[in-house]
Amino acid sequence: MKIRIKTIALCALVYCLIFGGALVYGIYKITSLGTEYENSRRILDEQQAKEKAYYDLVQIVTTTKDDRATLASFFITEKDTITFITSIEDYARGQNVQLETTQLAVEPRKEKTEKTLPAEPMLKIGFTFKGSETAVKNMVYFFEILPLHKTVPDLTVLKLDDATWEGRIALEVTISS
Amino acid sequence: MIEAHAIKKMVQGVVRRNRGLRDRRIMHPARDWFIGLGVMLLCVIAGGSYSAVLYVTYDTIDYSKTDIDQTLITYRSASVEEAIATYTVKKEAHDALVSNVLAVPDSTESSSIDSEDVFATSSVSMPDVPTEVNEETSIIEASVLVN
Repeated sequence: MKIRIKTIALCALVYCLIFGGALVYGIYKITSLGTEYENSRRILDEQQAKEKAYYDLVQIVTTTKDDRATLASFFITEKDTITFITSIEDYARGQNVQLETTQLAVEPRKEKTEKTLPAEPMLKIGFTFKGSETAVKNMVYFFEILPLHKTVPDLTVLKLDDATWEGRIALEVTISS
Repeated sequence: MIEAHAIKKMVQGVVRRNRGLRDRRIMHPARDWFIGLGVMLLCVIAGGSYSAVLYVTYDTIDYSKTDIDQTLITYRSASVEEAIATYTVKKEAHDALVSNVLAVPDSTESSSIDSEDVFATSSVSMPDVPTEVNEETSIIEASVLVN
């Protein structure tokens, strides 16, 4: 009788240990799977967000092809700089203006810093031109309406005598990379 | 007078009575059944509560508010159109000016012509180039988009 009781007690203990262990393992498994599910869901959401951004970008690129081509024509490239200067010289010659190039330099691209925004490379070019009042004014107007992205940091027009005017201009033309 | 032997006998009697009160049975089926039932009930309640907490935790996670690295792509079409319009006007004026000058073969006399005559007889139109447009911002934005 005593042995039977001990056997039953032992069986009960083993039963408790096995099912207690199974319960703890189940809880551990559920917790780890839950964490895994959370991470997977986050990664999935990130991928979906990136995919959506990609398709949005593709759509923008497709629908704005013409606009971008038009905009690109308003920028010069480094290989176009000679043509650009030649066109200015041709126009000056047509206006019977003495044109002299006083500055010609390419400022390299500025990378973004904490305080400044990135800047594309610039063609810094300066001219001095002499001629009649009309011709000098036409040259100034020519520089003003150059269909290129540029800034004019310096412009001076002087009347040398009754027939001769002189203009000095500095241009900073953005070079498309 | 009570002898020591008598006292010892009385004590042994009491002890034996107490020993006799001891329940020598290890198992009490009814008591153990209810204890087991109670423990099981506690396990079920604890497990159910834990499951409910887990379910609510994973069901109410708002992934839209997580720090997902999203690159927001914006295309400023208004700025682009404004820039294109501005530069198209400039380009037309520039092309007209250049073609007009190149069409004039004799440019030697142009320096002696009065400016008012030039503007009066020239076929070049001088459109009002809009200067209000913030070229820096609009075109730089456009260039970024182009790149």
